[in-house]
Order: sequence, then structure tokens, then C-alpha cells
Amino acid sequence: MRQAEKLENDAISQWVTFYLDGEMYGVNVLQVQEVLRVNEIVPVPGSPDYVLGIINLRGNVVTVIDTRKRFGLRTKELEDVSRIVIIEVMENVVGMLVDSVAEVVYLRTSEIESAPNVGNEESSRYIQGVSNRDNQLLILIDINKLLSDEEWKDMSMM
Amino acid sequence: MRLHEISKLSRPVLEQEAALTVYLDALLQCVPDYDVTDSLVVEERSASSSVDPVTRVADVLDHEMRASAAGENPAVQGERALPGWATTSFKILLFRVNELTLAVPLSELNGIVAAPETITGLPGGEKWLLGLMPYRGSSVKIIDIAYFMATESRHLPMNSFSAYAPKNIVLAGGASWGFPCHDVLRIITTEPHQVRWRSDRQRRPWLVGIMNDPVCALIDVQAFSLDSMA
Repeated sequence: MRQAEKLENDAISQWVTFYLDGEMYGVNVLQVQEVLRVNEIVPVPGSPDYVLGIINLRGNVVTVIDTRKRFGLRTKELEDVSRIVIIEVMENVVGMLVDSVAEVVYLRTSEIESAPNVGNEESSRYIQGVSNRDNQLLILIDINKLLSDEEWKDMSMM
Repeated sequence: MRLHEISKLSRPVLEQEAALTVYLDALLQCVPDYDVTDSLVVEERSASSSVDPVTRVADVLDHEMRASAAGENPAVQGERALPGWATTSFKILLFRVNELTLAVPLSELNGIVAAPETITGLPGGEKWLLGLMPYRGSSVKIIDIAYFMATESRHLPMNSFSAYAPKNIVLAGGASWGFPCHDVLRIITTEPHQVRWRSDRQRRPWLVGIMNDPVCALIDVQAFSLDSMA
């Protein structure tokens, strides 16, 4: 009985996983609208350095974030497998450029370790947790905290 | 062998010792003079010296952890506010990071595992965090111990796990974090008076003292607790 209750409370969530610089990351599937191949990204003069530019998504202008730059990783040339993950955050629809998209994984709450304390507010802000899957660590991102409230506000005005 | 030849041969050793002394002095800054005595270090040797040191260390660690769990070795606070593990004779593990030998109290460790080829980097992490290593269904934070050992005259940080190319990971903090090492040397038993303890640990809280024999820094691994560094 207790075991059944435990399982009931151990909710399952789905995560879209992608790669950046050889590491696997995940974002909650509920915030992912679609995944696009990379076409033309138009630079926006005067935009923050983590903004790659804008794309036209079926008549709507969508800002694309350079996720590598946001994460403090070295930049990389686009490849065939590069993708733009379209996400919705606080009524903003934005794209995240990633090296490649992997799969959708199912995780129980008990399989997610809380955000590791790495003594750095910048990273602990958007790292929601870590999950050990077959001895490979999956870093879970809290998309809402990828940018600060101020930055999300700026994004909506682009 | 003639005298000048012997002198020539021993020079690099002397220079190395001098360099080590300068380095440790730079680390120590101010060391109280109350407890500098002659040292007598007893080496714990296993029956067969051909046993792999890592295996030997792992065996001793297991024993220590069992003993600790059974309450055989209760820590008593010493009169000089020594760490709990240093109030009576204690075992330390000697290991090497690059060319630097370091010592850590065995009772504070949780294990030694073979280093993986790669670990998982965390975006935006602190400079001293090399990344995360999967371990027993969980993750272990890997700390760049060389980053903390660097002084103005000695730059050790490896910056990345691949640059380290460590042989082993020494686990501490309930196996929630660990640090890479290039060689696990041996375990020795020492006495509190054989260490030059630091009285003021405001700066470099991880440096608890200097061992007399072998001359090396004695590290308090609890000072690397991520909560205390945050």
C-alpha cells in the first residue's frame, strides 16, 4: 500500500533532450512547441550578445538565443544536425539554438537530483536538476530562469 | 664515486626540496610555533607490497568507514581546537596532484574510484568546479583541487578534467563531491604533534597544517564542502 502511494506521488515528467558541447541537456516538454532545422537567422543590430537574431516562423518573428553563449560555452559553426528548439516562456515564444536534438525522455521525480550547489548563482539559477541515466548525466534546465525577468521583458520587445 | 659527483647528483633533490619548502611556506603564511616537534611517522604497510596501492587504500578505507560506523574511533575535541579527527593518532592518505604530494585524513574520505575518461561539465559553474561525475545512480561534483593549491609563484590549476587526465577520484563529503588525483601513494599513521597546525584558518581554510614527514600540506576536506564555498 505504502509502495503504491510512493509510486503515485512519484510523478513522471517528459523532457526534450538536446546536446551542447557534448553534454546532454533537457527542457520540459510542456514548454517546447516544436523543433526546427536552422534556416536563415537575421542578426538584430544592438541586441544582447546571447541573441543570435530573428527568424520568420510562419509569419511570426521569433528571437533565437545562442544557447552556447548563454551557457558560457565556446561558439561553434552550424552543422546539419543543429536545431532551433522553439519554446514558450512567460508568453514569449523564443528559439534556442542547440547542437542537436536527441529524444524525449520520461523521468520520475525521484530520478531527478535537485540543482547541484556549485556556489555560483548564475548557473544554479537555470539548472533545475540532474538525472543519472545509464551512467550518463542529463542536465535539466529551468527555461523560465534561462534569462532574468528583465531580459525576458527585453525579449518581448524585440 | 667522488665527492663532487655526489654533490652534483644530490643538487636537483636539494633544489626540489628547497622549492617545496618555499611553496609550503607561501601556503602557510603564519604558522603557530607551539607544536613543531621531531616526527616519527609509522607507515601502514600491507603484507604484500605488490598489492596495488589503490586496492590497498580501498581496503583500509572500507575498514575505517566500518570502524567509524561502529563508534570505535570517536572524535574528541582537542585542547588546541584541532579537527576532531586529529585529537589522537590518525591515518592519512598521501596522494599526488601533478608533482605535488598532499595529505588528507582517511576518516574524512568516502572512497577512491578509477577516474572516468570524461565528466559532465556544468554551464556557468565556478572556476574550481570541473564538472559532475555519475556515481552509483547519482552525481558527484568534481573539484579542481589544484586551483586551490595555486600560489602566486606556483600555478597548478588544470582548468579542465581532460587536462588533468587523473588516475583516480578521491570521494569525500558523503561521496557528494570528489577531487582528481594522479597517484594514490600510501596510507600512514601519524600523531597530532607531528603536524604544524595552523591556528588561523580564515584564509585557505582547507589548509589545516603541514606534515613534518613527509613534508606536505595536510588538507581538511570538510573545508571544501560546497556549502562553505558558496
